[in-house]
Amino acid sequence: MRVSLSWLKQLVDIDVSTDELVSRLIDTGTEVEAVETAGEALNHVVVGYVLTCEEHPNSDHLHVCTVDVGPVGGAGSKPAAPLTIVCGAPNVAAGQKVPVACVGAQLPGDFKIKKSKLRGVESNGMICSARELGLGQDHDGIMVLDQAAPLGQNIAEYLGISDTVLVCEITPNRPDCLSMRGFAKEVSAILGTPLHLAFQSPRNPHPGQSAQVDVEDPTTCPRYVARVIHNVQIGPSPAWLTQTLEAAGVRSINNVVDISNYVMLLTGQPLHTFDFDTYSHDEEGKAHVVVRRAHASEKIQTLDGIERTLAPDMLLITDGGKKPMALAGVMGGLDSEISDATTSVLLESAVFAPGMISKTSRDLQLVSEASLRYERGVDRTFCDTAADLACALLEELAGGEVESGVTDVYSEPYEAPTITLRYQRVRDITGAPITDDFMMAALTSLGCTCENASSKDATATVTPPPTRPDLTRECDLTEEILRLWGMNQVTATIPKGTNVAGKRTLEQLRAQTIAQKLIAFGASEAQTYCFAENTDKELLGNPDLPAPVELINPLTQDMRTMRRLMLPGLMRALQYNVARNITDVALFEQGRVFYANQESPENQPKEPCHLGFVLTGNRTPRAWNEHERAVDFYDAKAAIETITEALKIPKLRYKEADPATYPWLQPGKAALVYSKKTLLGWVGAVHPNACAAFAVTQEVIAAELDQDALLALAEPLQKSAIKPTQDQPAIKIDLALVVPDELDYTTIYQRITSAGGKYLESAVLFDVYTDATRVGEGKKSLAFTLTFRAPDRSLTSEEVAASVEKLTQKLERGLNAQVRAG
Amino acid sequence: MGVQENIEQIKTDGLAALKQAASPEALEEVRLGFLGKKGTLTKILRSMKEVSPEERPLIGKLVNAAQKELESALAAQKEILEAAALEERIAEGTIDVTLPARPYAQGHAHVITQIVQEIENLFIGLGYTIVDGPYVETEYFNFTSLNTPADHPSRSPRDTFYVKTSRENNQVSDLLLRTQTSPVQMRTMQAQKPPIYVLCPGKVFRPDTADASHLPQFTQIEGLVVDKGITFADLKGTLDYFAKAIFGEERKTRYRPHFFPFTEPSCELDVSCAACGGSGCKFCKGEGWIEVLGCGIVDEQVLINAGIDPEEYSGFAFGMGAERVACLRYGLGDIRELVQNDMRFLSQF
Repeated sequence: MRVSLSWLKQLVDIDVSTDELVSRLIDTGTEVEAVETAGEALNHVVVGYVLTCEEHPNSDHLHVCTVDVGPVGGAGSKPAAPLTIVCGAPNVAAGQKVPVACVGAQLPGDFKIKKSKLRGVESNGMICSARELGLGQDHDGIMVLDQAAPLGQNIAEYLGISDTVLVCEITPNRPDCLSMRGFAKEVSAILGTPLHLAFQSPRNPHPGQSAQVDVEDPTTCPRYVARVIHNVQIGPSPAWLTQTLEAAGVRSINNVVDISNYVMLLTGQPLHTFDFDTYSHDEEGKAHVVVRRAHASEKIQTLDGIERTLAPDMLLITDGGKKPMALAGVMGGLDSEISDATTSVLLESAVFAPGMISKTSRDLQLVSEASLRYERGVDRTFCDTAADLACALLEELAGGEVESGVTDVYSEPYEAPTITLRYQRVRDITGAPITDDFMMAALTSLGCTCENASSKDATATVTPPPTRPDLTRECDLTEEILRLWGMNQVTATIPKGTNVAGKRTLEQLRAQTIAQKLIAFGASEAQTYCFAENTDKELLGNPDLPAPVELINPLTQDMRTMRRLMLPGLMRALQYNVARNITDVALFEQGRVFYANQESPENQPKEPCHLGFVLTGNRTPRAWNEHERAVDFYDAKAAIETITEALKIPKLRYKEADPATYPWLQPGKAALVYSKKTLLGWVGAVHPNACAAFAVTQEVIAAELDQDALLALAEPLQKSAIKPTQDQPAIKIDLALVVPDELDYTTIYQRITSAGGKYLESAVLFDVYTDATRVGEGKKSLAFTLTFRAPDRSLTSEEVAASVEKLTQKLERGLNAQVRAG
Repeated sequence: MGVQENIEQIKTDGLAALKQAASPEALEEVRLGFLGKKGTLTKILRSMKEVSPEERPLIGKLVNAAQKELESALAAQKEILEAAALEERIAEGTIDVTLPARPYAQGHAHVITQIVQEIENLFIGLGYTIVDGPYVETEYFNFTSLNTPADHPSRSPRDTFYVKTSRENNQVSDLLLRTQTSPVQMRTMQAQKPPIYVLCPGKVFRPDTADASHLPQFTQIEGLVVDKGITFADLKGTLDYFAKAIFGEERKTRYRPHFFPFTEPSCELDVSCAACGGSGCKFCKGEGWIEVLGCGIVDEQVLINAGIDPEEYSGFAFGMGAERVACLRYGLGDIRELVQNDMRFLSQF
């Protein structure tokens, strides 16, 4: 909403500066987004009085004048000394009031006024012609102003061409402020100053009533006022009207259209003007307006030239129920538009159901000044007054003959709500010591009628004005009172909050632990979209995945499902880095994945939280004191195990992943991760084909775990008992086994730990070695450090030797291993 | 030369030799030469029987004194040598302390996570718990229960992502991606009796094409209090505390009345601009104030929808975008950086 301050000042007294007004508006809830000033080019140009005018001593056409420019800095400030100004205009004379551009002025055409010397005489400004001020073409001489012009006043202000426009954001609950009438009321309430609202009626109505109106469903159109005006002369609008509309951001079209826009801006009542003769007339010459719902697929070409296909939940203004003439409350039809040939005007001043208008506007993606207002609610008590005002202006500015007959179908009269206001309740909710009197005064200033219903109960009965459909409940009034009292005046307190204690749940804390562990591992947290890209499944090698969650209205067709895996988003993030030559990347994300779940009562999908990470490049970067080392599968295992260890999740098992189910993983270099019988997720090298599909050429190690499953397996707090540390000395023995290549570590390890005897504390693998000549074809050597310890005494080396001997025999027999201990 | 002179001579020679000894080996050699089994001083002790009985006590005394003196000189010299050796070892161990540190891979929490956790911690301190809910929500929880009118523009497909269901014809649906974390507030109110002090941070979705100031997925942090006797003053106290803790003690706050369907009265909170201190600058577009969040007293109808009696309880709610806080705190100009996951960006936080 663009509010012209000069227009506003005609409607309400404003006794504060613009800055103060803006700040009061903001503090009471009207957002002022910008303050625009017209006539800024004429700053420092003021009304001056020519005291003396002498011939220039060194020139035959120049004059030397002394000019009084009044108080510098506006009324009330000290008068400045008269200025000496050299002027070349033939018509300058003592005793004239003239426009004076003082030093510092910057006239149109970037003409800066400076102190200068003209033929030896100092000149401190310029007496201006109309053209120099950009106010016309007259350059025959200086502009001579009326003697009544106030000395020192800014010239733009004096000429009425200066205006300040407040660009305001009006919240959707305040349709009243989408009009100057409502805005002025608001300002009057804020400042406590009087309003000057009066609306003209036609002076010279002519007998006649050529409009008949039928409304099929009154709930869709509670009121419809029609007026007919004949012998209208279409033409340009007068300057005041054009300027007023321009300040409001509305383009002038012709006097008839401009008047309907003007009345809407002033009163908030959208009007529509039809060319009366585009309606068919009955034998009495009457037009028959029928307001009805559109038929399915009915069409109308709107004013913007677009043919619109309609639906039965849209409302039409029709010619006798047949031809659509306008899309009610949204936009007129092209066929019934006012043209230069129009002589009779059918004026509509109506109210339509807000929900219907907003749906039509939304469905047709067509927003107009009218639809904006109808959506939010238009005061139905005012249709006739607005129509009267428009008629008066059509009479005055377009020479129209206004029919005296008013067709007013007012089928759903306005019923004012009455609200009981409890004074103490307002104080209880605001926490501010607002007096009963202030509440009454505030509501009254907003146009409510307030009656002290019961002094015993300390309540008032409040009837809001019809312009405020947002006021229906006590809490709505509380807001009005609070905003006028001043939100910033309320003394801040902290809730007493008895019996509340803040905390994170164990699960939230553990989710944080997971992130902390990965950060300590060296991975950075990524945040990617929950949307999947349609190609993701294919890029991953077309795995079988649970049914996706699909969007009806995706942002782009490429992003129409929700993700089912974290990996694609992380791969894209990784690729983004690699493409920028950042080749060492370690990223993780904790986020949700989505699986359709049509069994759930509301169809709400499953949204498990997953933990994904991707690693590529060097684990240890090249440095002067470090050998560079590429990240590998076992780094990913380490990352996973730091988490499971921190959460005290039962020991993990790794099983090779089936390439058919996990086509995005490199066969033989990927594993499923289990704890107990729960599948937690997968870890492995991303298949080179999948890497290539994501435009990554280097090896990527990735993992994705079900975080919900991790948290479910985490050990309950009360079970985390401490294991006592062992003080007895340990004996360490190294053990090397040569075994067939295909024998996996877990099998060997399990055999060692089960056969090592009760004092075997740990078996740590420290070497894996293959060499056809030294170890043998198809064989590998694994070396372990075995630690033996008894909890209660020092073990003897004989005891340990006996255990090792037993172990060696069992391994040799059970695993067909060659064992060497030392 | 008499025995006495001899002892004196041995002592003098011994002390001189000790001083000369420049290594532990040389020192040991000197010790053996004078004090060892075959050392010159030991020899004198051994030949004591040759000394006359009347001289014996005196000679014995002298030998003992010489021995003591030599032993303490030996210890002193040993200490000097050890100190020198240590010094040498230390000198050899000199490194260039300005060489770069060993590379140590340090990960970083995402800046949005950090902001969310910082704000969570603040409100945990005020007695709040942290709650979240489904991202795919029903229209009831996301809009209807929160007082959003049936024809409100925020429900339109231009402002809300709708999700296909098995029941609908896939043109209209009552399932959507939540546009705010407020449905979590409603779920909390329906599940739990007051007092309620909760913070609901989480991802929300709106069909905005990504640009410098919009993302189709962003992070909201909402708070809700429902308790007996909660006032607008309590809302102010809480948010003043928040604003100063997050943006700086010196920042001022301003509450501007506004409109939200969920709250009544509603307002927006501004903090004074950090760049200019409130006098107006380019950063705050000359206003001196920066908008931070929306808030208000929970609308009575919302409490009723949650099964809470508004005559018994009242509450306040507030909501902000974590991305906006990131912009204000770190001068982030383009929020798309938050989802690009450039390691160079992530590692700055």
